[in-house]
Amino acid sequence: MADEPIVHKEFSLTRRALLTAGAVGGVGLFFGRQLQSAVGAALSSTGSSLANFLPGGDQFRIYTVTNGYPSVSTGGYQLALSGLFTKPVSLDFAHLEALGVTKLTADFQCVTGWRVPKVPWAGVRLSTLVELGAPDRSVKAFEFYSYDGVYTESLTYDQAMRRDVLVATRMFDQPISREHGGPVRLYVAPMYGYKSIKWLSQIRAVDQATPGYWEQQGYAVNAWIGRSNGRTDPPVI
Amino acid sequence: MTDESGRTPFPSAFRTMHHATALSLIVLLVTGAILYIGPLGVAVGDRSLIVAIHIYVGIFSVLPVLSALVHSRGVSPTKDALVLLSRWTDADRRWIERLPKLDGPRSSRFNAGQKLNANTNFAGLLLMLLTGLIMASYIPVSIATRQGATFIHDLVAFLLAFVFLGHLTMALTHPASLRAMFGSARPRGRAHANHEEEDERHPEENFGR
Repeated sequence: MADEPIVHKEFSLTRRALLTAGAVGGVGLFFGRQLQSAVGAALSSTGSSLANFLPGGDQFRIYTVTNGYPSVSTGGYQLALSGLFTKPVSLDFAHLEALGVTKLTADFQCVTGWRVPKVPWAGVRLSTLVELGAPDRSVKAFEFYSYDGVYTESLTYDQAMRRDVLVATRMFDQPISREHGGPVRLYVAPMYGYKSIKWLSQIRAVDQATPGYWEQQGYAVNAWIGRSNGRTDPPVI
Repeated sequence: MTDESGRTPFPSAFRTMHHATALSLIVLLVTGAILYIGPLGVAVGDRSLIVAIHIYVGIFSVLPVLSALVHSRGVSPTKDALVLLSRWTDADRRWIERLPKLDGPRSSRFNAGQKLNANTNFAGLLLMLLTGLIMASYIPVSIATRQGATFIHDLVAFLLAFVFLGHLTMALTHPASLRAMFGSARPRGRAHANHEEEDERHPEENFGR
């Protein structure tokens, strides 16, 4: 065995590592939102797509609550207006396109923290479809259903009639891809992304809405961005 | 102790703990990458299956080391090794000062870099487990907390991936150490004979050379 000088200080590396991890965790859980905002701002200012890939950066994450994604062609697509509409009707994709195009550019903000800034959307205002279906006077809300057979969402009547709620058929000047919820999805600009149901199949007019998929797991029904512990900068319209 | 030859093989329980943890980490990194990288996730498709694997393996990943820690010193060579990996001495500080040369002093079989690697992974995996459970569960924490957990989870994932690549590089460029972990479990004749009696008296000081 080689000669070794007297040991001056010896400590438990494991204890220090655990304390450090605890501190990082504590700082992260309490200040993570601000940290992420700061990092996100710094990364986006570089304009680099690699920077967007890093944590805090601005990139889409594709979520689904079922195994895989439904496959719906524009040819086979149908949007049903059901429930308490006085003129319940089923619209195919061509009919939707014929109703005219509204463009809306706004941020997509997920409740878990990531945001994609200034996404260009195009489609038909939800309010246009509501008027088409002519809801009964008792209607207070709308429920939304997906081709995945599982996901559901809801909006109050006033929320649905907002100018910044779209039944979207295009994003980034392209048809909405399958993983992004195409051919038709909802886009609710002032609310967290989970309200923007993908693979929209049905709009049902009701007098009382059943809370949707994530709301039943504890997330807010009225998912306004910035008014519930999210990033404080509002989406740009 | 810079001579690469004559490394005593690690005992099999120690190897098992290592292999179980390493395999878990690899599965976590791969499934994590699929979940994090959009185009990759789209290519693989079945997100809920990947999520399930990631969560279950994540929970499992800390168990091999934790179960080794439950044993008492002197009874379990694996526990003795973990004690050695945990102890940071003056020699380790000097080993770090010698970087990028890897010829600094050691107080035991493990050098400072190996101790840092082991402890970073141990503490890191526990932090990943905590933040991961917040992400995966429906515990009603605030959205700010949930965002913070997600951010830390992503950040530490990058750190652990980086440390893993470093560890892999070291392992692949040091054949004697690689043999100690993956080679024949029978100790080499001479080294074993010299330390036989010392082993019985001071198992932790003589956890192989």
